[in-house]
Amino acid sequence: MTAVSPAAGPGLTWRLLDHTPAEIAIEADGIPVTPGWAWGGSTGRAVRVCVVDSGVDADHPMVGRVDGAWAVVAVDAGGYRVEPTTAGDPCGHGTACAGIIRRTAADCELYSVRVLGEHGSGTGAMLLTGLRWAVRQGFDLINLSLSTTRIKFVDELRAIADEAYFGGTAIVASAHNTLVESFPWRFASVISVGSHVEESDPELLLYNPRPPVEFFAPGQNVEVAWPGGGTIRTTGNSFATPLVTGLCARILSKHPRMTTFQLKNTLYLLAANVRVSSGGSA
Amino acid sequence: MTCTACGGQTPVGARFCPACGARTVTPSRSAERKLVTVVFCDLVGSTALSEALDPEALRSVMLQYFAVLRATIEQCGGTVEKFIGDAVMAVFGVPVMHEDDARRAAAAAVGMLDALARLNADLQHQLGVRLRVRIGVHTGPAVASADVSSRQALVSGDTVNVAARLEQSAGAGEILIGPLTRQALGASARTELVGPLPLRGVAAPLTAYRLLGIGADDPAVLRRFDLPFVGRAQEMAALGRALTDARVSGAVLITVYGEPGIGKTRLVRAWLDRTTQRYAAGAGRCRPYGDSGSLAPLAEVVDQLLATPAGRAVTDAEARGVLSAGLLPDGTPGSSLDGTSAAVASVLRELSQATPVIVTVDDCHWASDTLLEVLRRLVTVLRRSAVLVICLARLDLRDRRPGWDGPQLVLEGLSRAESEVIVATRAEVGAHIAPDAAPVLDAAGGNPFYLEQLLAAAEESAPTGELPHSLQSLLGARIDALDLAERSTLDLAAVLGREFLAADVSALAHGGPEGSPGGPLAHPDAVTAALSELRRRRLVESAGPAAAGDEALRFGNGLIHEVTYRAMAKRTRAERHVRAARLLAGRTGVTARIATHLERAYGYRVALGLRDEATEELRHRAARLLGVAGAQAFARSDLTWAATLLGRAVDLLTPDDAAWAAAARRLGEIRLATGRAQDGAALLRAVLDRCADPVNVAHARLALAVADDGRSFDGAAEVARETLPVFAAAGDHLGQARAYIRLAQQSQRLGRHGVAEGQLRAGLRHAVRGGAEPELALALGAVGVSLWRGPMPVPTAIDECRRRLASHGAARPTVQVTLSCPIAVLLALDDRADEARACLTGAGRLAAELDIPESGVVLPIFRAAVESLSARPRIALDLLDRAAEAAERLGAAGLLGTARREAARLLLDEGRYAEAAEQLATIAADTELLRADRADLDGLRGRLAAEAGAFDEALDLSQRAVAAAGATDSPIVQAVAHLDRAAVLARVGRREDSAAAAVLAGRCFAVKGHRPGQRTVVDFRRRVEGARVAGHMGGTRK
Repeated sequence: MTAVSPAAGPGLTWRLLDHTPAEIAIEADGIPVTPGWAWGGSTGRAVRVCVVDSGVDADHPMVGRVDGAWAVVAVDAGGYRVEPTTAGDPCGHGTACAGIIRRTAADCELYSVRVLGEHGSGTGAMLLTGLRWAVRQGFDLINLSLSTTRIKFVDELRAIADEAYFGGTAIVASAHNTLVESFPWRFASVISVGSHVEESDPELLLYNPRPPVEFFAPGQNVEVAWPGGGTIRTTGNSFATPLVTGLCARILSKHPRMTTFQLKNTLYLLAANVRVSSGGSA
Repeated sequence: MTCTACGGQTPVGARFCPACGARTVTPSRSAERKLVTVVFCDLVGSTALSEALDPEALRSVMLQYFAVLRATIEQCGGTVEKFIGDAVMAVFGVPVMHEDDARRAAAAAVGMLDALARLNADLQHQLGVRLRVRIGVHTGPAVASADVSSRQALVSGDTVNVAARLEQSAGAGEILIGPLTRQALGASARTELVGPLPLRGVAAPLTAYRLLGIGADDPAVLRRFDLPFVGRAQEMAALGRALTDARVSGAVLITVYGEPGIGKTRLVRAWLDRTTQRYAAGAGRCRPYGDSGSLAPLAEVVDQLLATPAGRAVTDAEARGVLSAGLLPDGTPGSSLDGTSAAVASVLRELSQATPVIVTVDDCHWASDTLLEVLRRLVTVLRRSAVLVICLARLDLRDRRPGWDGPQLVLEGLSRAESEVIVATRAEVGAHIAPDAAPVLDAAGGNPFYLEQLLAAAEESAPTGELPHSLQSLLGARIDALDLAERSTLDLAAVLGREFLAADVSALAHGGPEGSPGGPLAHPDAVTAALSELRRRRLVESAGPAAAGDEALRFGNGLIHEVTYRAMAKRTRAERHVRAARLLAGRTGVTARIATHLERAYGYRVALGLRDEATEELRHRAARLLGVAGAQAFARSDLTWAATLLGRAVDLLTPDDAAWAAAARRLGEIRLATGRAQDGAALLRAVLDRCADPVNVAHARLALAVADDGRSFDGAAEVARETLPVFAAAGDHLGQARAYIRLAQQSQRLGRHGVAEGQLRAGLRHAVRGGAEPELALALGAVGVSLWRGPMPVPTAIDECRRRLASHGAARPTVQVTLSCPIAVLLALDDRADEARACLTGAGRLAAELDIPESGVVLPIFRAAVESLSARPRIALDLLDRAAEAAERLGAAGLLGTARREAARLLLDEGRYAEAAEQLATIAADTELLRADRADLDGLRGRLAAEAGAFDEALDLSQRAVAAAGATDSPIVQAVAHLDRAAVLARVGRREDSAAAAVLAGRCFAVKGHRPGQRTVVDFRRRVEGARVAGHMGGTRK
């Protein structure tokens, strides 16, 4: 039995609610990076992005082409298997994430692995099966706007996250919306994303001086694609994460040899609240 | 009270009539709606049986058969409703519901087959025959009229038919159950899907299941013990302290109290999982109906403890012998209670020498007195042993055993944050979308089981909006367990609402049969006593102090309120709502509540087919009061609430009703004001078509004319001029306020701010007298515009605006919004940009709360004006873009034009001519414009033409702008036109004329006290005249 308590103390920040970007300004060492260098002119072309979620509605105008779609299905003999699917997205959550990635990196390749059911919930076994499979396909990026609160899946998830990290697949994982421990966003091997409530700049990226959540992106009142071809406005760390995934796609398209730690470093140096004050050869 | 036998009067509370000696009949509960489970059992092959047996033998067999069935049903807590031929019908849930009625019914069905098998063994032996039966079980809603005294229950409804049909579809020896029964049994039942079964007389095929058997009702299976455990740190610490006490000072008994589902069992299990102290544990559970001995829970405990390695090594053979002879096999005390107690104590004492022993007895509210006595005795005799006895019980145990021993721990609901964690961690894997769980959290009131059930119900493939049956059973059982006085009190409170005043419940009771002589609440203090009992049972809680010594109370959570309310028959609800309306009549500020009571009473009577005069009268009264309440809400600027109330009034009425026109007209006006233009216009046109009353027609005409203003300029002012006498004749201040405001707006369009001010003063006067908040706000906002645009100098204008804000603004958010905008611009004209911004920020916050759709356009335009006056054109342009977008969405053509022109001016000033031209091009050529706007537009077009080299056109346009501006009394408009003219003249090379025009502009700005304008003129002159100087100098240098 796992124990869960809310408000696990001031050390952990899941969402940036009561601070402005100016209040979390950070001085950093390093060589300054400009957005122009990082992703100027890039549309994410040739970067393979996999959305591990509730599926993706490929017919949605904000999603565009989906280059491959699979679903984790139960096998009669017990256990699960990943197979191709044409079922789309019975929930809408995956479509919303895919739409944000497409909006951010218009020319990336989008793939979908469905591990969630129609209410945006699923089982740990399905997540492990789907995520492991996606990592082994060698996608460049995996967007994971979900997590599990169950401790029993932690070891296996950590192993998968490490495998991705060393194998050149960057997992961009969303922090939980509620103040609870969940996984895999808590691991250092993934790029973890929470949300801030600034609505002025739809691509405002902030670095969190108090990890485990490393980055904040807009996650409040975000306009997202929704099954049926329309859009809704909604809130959640789920929607901050695909923006970061899209930014990563733009960076990787321009710098395809970047490792996950270089990618994370680039995001860090680009964050609006991070000022690079020293560095270079000195 | 009247004796039903002789008709004589009997004293209240007498059990027998003093005149004739007949038993008095307690007033029966009225008809109730409840969730019941119905069981039908019928004999298969009875004809063959009657042919095979002698009539006397047959009669004896049948008597045994019925006796066996009745005994089984009653043992499980069911009520035998009737025998029909060879069939028996039993109901579980009457006269009182139990939370596990479905399970009891299923147990009874299985039990009947078992009992019959035993009977058959005898019959086979004696007579050579066997009885075979088929059984149907179905759970569903029913109306029950329960007569407590006779225990006779009359249950009716579809549920009975379906149960009978299921029985007829079953094979011999088979039990078929319906879907809700299946759901209620949960994981503990073994069933097979029979599939959709077409049943005679039942519309849709029913998904039926074959019941094969039922297992243990372990809470870990029935409730979601697989979910993460949330909160309860303090309670766990308290249990930890109790164990330490037991270890240090000897046996402790602690009782954990809490309502069903609050998490008593899980608390103890979670604590046992987590505690770092060593222990040996055994747990037992009491059950609501007897299929085992009264000490069975203790037997479970001892059995578990003896099965551990330490238990197997227990040396006291005598104690083992006593327990094996009585307690362990059947849960009875065996030969003697004392002997059994001593044996248990001996075992516990021996075990506790190695490690503390924890004995948990769950569901102690169902514990027999014998068991409670044994537990108490154990703690006494084990005062030197490390034994912790934990009793888990609902609050009912305190009723049964007021002095029940030992320390206690009462579990309250989880906090909001903890409940949110339950929602967030329910699924093993969850998407990180922020769910709107507020309604479910409110309803559950911190009870994790309720929360879990509600969330599960919300996720069903076709949510019905009905409460989950598990909760209906659980809560229905809680309120059914109340006595008549408490239940009547709770019912009356439920009619009043989730929150209510104690005195209101009392008054409601004494205005009806409940509080009349012979009624359950006849005693003057009966309601107070019942409420205090209901609070003790946590069904009701304090909601804080109310006026005049009364107390505000509320239902413990939304579900208790809902279940109580829904359990009343519709006819009862209708009658009580009428009484509630009568009770509230005459109080102030409760019109909407009275209307709601009448509306509900009407709705229930219609649902019951009672279409009589009384029903009609309810409809009229409800609609009239909803109309009044809606008009009040409208006058108080609460448009959303007003729309709801008036919408309900219009729904109740038809155009033939006298009250329809006023309600429909007001609703139409609100729809227009809240951005639902088409709906609003349609309603108002319907009023014009169908209504003869001149005042309503005048209002509708004026509202439509105002709505049409984008197309037919000045139409509203014309209609205002025509309708003003109608309103005046009728003494309709609202109408007059509106008409004056429209006239003033026309004056403003013509740029005559002086005239406008006078008309607005009249409008304001009528708005105050008519208590019309939106009109007051409109007039004050318009006054603000005239003070800003008109001849009054800036400092005086600011003072004037602030004076009006002070006299009308307090507690009027709308006024604060509409006056803040012109004040902000005036402040910016006085070079006080920071004050101006603060002023608009406050206005924006208020507007968002008030849900005024136009504020999305108007506020950015004003903010842009402030930014542009403080020389921040880029920010101003962004704001204007936003305003234009919002204006397009709203279809607000006038505001869109304003945003475009303002943007064009900023772009022109920055030299971005092409973009400026683009902005102006989007303003439709045929748009009719305010005089000032016409001057503005011509001035802009003149400057653009000059830049394009079309000098003649430029001069012509700028001249027209100056002329139009001259016809207004606005120094700002005039100054801007002169300055545009100066720019054109400079561009065409007429520098002297340009300078003269700039001087005129400067004078106008100076008259107004427009500081940024005056600087602009100076800059302009320096640029134009300085360019000449610089040119000369350059020439010299060459």
